Amino acid sequence: MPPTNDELIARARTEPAPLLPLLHRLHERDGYLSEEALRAVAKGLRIPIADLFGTVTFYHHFSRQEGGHAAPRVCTGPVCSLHGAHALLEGLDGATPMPCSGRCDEPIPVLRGNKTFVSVDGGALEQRSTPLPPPAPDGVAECVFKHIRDPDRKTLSGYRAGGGYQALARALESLTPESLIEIVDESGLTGRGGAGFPTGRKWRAVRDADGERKTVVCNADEGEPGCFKDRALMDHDPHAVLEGMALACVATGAEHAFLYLRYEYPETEHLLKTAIAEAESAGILGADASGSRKAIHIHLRRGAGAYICGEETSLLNSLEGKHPFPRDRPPYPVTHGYEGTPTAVNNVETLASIPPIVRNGADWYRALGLGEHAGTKVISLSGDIARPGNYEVPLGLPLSTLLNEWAGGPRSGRSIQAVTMAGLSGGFLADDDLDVTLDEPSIRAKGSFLGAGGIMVFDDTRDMVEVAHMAMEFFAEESCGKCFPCRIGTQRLTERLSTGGGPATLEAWLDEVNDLNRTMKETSACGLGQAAPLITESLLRYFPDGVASHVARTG
Amino acid sequence: MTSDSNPRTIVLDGETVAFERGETLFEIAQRHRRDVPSLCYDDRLDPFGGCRLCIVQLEGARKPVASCTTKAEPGMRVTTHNATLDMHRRVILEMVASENRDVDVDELSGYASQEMSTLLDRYDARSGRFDGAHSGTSRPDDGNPFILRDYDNCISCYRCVRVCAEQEGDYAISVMNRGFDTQITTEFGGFLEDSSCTFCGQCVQTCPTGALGDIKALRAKDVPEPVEKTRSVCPYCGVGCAVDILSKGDKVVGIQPAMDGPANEGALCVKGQFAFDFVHHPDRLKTPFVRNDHGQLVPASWDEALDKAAAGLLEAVNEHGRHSLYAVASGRAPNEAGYLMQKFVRAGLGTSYIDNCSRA
Repeated sequence: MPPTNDELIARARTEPAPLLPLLHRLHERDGYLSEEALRAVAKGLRIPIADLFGTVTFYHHFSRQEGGHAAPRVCTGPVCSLHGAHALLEGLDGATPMPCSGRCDEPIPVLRGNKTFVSVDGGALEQRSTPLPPPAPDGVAECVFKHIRDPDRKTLSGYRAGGGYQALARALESLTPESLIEIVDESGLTGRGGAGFPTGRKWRAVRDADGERKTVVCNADEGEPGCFKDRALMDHDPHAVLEGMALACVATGAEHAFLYLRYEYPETEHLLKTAIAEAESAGILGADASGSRKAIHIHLRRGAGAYICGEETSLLNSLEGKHPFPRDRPPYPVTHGYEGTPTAVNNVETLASIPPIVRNGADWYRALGLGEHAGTKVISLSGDIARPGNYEVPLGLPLSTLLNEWAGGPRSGRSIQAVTMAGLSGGFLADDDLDVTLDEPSIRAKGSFLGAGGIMVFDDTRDMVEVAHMAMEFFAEESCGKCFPCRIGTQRLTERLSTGGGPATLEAWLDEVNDLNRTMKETSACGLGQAAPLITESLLRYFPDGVASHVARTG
Repeated sequence: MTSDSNPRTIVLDGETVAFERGETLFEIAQRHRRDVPSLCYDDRLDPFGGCRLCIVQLEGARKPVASCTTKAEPGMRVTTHNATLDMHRRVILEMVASENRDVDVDELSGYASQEMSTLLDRYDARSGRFDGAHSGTSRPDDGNPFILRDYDNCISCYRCVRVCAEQEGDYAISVMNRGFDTQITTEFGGFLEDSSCTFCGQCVQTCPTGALGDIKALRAKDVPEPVEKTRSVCPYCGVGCAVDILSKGDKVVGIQPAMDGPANEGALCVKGQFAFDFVHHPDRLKTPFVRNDHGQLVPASWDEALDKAAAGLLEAVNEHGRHSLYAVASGRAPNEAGYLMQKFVRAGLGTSYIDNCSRA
């Protein structure tokens, strides 16, 4: 007998951040979200029904049609589109497109119910586990990937065999929260989700903020197209992420931590659930974590398909069951985060870096980078490249070394025309600007940024205007609708990059696009609307001839 | 006043001005008549930061900031108008103009209905640039008699949704979908009548584009005379909501809540907002009526009518005792009239059977 509405709602009332898990249970039980179920949720959790309805429609994957949960959804992200995603979509009965679902190293993922299938080279669909990172070149030291290829690493015993949970034990037994924060400070670790804020400083701000109750959130809503590093970390080294979260709790004084996972990683959810249960039954997590008399509880929460929920304040609204618009800042989450508590929101890679830093010391981590740059960064590399995958590079590594030496260069007989930076959010780099090193100062000097570390490669066979069109379509689809410049601007730029939109003369076309770029960058309320115009800006910078012939063709 | 004598000051366009704790830059700029534009702002609601028209330049900040969501801090140096800010404002307004069917709506649509078109003219933003898809979907199928849902003119400022939640506490409407596909919706996309809407009309009055319109007032759209506004007090219950009566010639054509009404601050209920047709209704009573010997109602003077009523009351008391009477005071009467009524019933008629229609 499947559980009744009343049973599910009664259970939800005992949980923190109950709305999303409750909606997922109903979605899975019924195969869609019926009006009757939503009315029961509204009543049970005391949410106005119009608000609940509006919020449900915000998420891509909550289906309001019978059978919607089981219907196939095909990734039509930039890389999958290059590999024939649209043909696959047309050939699959009842299939609908979904934005980049974070498996660009092994296209094309198809989601059916709670299972991910892969259609390799347009062939039959098969279930496959997330690819492991390719081995690092000889002599290159890694941080988060150092043990990821060890056998049984995803189990508790396998994790412990590589020194796992020693950092947490040390922090609880012999470190003060302040000295733990100091180690992180000195390591030079900054946020690996893209914003690059110093992690130690964030933790100290939370620790010092007014209010007894603190919260830790692991941002695993890896929605940036071309980024799939967090998936690899969570799938192959889940305990490292949990240990990092537990250390964040120790440092900030939080007793509750949430891991907010993107919808498109159902197998990851299962693995994380198993890992959390293992750590709880071993007494590492729980009311008396590792015998410290401190409580550390980790709660897993699954998103429902919304890129903007990777933005930390949207994520917090989503966790709280509110409409996931970004919040106005200040106040920042470090003082007013989850339910108003001081909250540390950290990316998966950032948190996974913490245990090795605590074990090996701040100096060890700093020295992993080249020159003045501290530490490493995982780059998700995909597109027209011989060996796509996740590479943990020392910060400061030349991009060309990664592309040509580590990843085998472009396909044979081809050359690299352009790459994206920060997934899509950093726009394109091309021509001489490919001569950068992988670190923020070098890439920012070219008007882009490294961000979460997604790099998609496009060789000389690709139409870059079409690539830019796909990119802008993504931003328009994912714009939340809160602020005018982004809501309207992403739509207008998409129209101008598609066939038959915008002014007929190049002069008028450029005039409009430049104005849209500038005003969106300067006045949008959050990173989405500020970053989207980097696509058009860099397209105009590197490919003015392509733009001119696009306007001549479509105008 | 200088920053030396009072640390709670900012420099606004070169002028040192004082501020209250918690005040936003927008509030300060408004107080000093800087005329910073906005489309998502309603001073009764929490600042939203959506339209981005109220951007100002803050010294030391990389980008302009939305003044409505930025709280003043001592020593801030703020510029409200310069060529860059005005260029961004114009581009945003050109974008807004491009998503709508048309921008000129009748002023009878609602209190704030001219805000967008006024700003478009002020910033010369009717350029036709950024032409493309339109964003809203009107609901002509919603046949309610009060609120026009003409979302073809919606600009997604969410003032309607916010006023419904924050002022009326109704939560009848919300935001559906996202990005350019955003729509204002009720639960499950149904009609207002089937939602928790009370038809108070506050969404209509705060809408800056006329996407929500006052259907009853718009009946007089084609009447040629100009609209006149007369400040008055709502004739219904005793709360005393201030209203502006809209008239054309000698006809009342609509009601708008007074945003500065001390009792209502822009709020009305469905009766005060929409139920004014009695004014010019042919069935409206203009004199007292009494029944003649044949039982027919005929017009009478007030003296005749009061005599008749008094005689009737006395007859009932004499025949059935004083407790055979029961009086209900009208909720439309103010406290003073309610007091007189109970005095009349208790001391005059000698019974305690007195009640009020709000309770009865």
